[in-house]
Amino acid sequence: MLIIGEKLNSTIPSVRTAIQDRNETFIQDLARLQVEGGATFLDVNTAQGNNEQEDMEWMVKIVQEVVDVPLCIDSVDPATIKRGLKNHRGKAMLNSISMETSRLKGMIPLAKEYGCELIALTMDDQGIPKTAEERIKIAGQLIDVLVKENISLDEVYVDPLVLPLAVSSDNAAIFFECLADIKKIYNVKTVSGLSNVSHSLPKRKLVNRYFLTICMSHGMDAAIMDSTDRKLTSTVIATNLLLNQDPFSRRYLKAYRQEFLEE
Amino acid sequence: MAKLSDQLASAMAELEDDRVLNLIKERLQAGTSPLEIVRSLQEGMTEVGSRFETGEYFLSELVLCGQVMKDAMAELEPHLAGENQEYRGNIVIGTVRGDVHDLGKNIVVMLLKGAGYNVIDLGVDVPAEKFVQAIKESNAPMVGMSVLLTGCQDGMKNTIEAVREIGNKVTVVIGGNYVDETVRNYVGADYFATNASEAVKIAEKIFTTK
Repeated sequence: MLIIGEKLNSTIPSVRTAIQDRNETFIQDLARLQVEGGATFLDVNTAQGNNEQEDMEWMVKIVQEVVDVPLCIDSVDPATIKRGLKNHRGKAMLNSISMETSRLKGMIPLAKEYGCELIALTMDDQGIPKTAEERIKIAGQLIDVLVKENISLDEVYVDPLVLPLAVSSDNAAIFFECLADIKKIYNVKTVSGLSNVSHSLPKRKLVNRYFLTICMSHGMDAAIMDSTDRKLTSTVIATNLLLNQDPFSRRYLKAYRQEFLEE
Repeated sequence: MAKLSDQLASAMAELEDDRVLNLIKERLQAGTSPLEIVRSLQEGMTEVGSRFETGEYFLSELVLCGQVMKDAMAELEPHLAGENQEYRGNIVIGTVRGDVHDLGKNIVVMLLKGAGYNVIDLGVDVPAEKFVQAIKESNAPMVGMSVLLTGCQDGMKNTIEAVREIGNKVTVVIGGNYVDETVRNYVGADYFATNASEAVKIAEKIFTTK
């Protein structure tokens, strides 16, 4: 499973301050730390800084100075995405596209122009549907559009958007159903963030960790997560082992020897 | 940690499968004899075994080692067969009753075939009667019995007794990681070998005197 590091996000107060103060060291250290923890992509979001587009260009440049992993350019604003992609070296990921009319219109040309990987959210102008059926239907509509636009489905990660358990106790179960069915019906990759599910619960990390494991057992291909959290990354390694993704336990034992695993 | 004599042995010990295969290809191209290469691989394997014994390696790494060796031997096999094609006689071989390990045996089989023998491989968990029958049918002057589990020693002893009853002068060679002079004596074998190239040397001796 692909690990997309979530921490270069301007909604995190310390990151926001670092963006506003142009604190390169802080951002670069955070980038390195996430890669050391196992991130193979880094999400970059500058929505809450000074100027989203300028901040995006700055972040992309300084982060790529210190790490080799590609970045996941995260914004709802096509102009910001373009600014990020333009300054990105190598193949980036676009986060995200959805069936919302304006986003679809704005992002499709960018996805084609830059040939990047793509996160596709199962929501439309009416918001996030409650049921699995409706979200699966939106995934189908999105995939139709992408195919029509000649975008390879190999590049696409569908995010069926998990809602908090606190809102409704069936939200995680609905999400697992979406993960399995979207993969089965459309044969595309799936992705999710881990923290929404535990919103306004105590001991959230506990819930997030088990959520991740169950998602992986439903075939999830990527997670946007805190790769500096050793317990969480250890969970990924152990779950890969359990799911027969780690022949001869090689990665698990390697992580063990590097004293990386946390029980 | 034991000092390993060369890169290939240490790649094997570190279980770096791609590197092992690349080194084998390089050495074959450079004209190194396949038997020499097998020796390095076995040295690496022995190191893996001792790392497992000390608790440094885990069981899945022992299994991985077997897989790497299998892949390595598949790479070597065509070259071994080319080494010496003349027919030198029949040898019966198998892993004794109760034991299902075949990695070591398979290496010996390959080397013997490469050395020009017609090897009748009975597989694993082979009952005494099967050994007896094969020896009778082939009239082989040599039989190899492989064992890895110490608990199968008595099975081996019984098998050898059964083979002796045939009456013809078949030479019994036992092989396995732990076998030694004491085991040889206990089970009543003629020779023992702890690695594949020793087995080939013993075969040469047997077939030159017969």
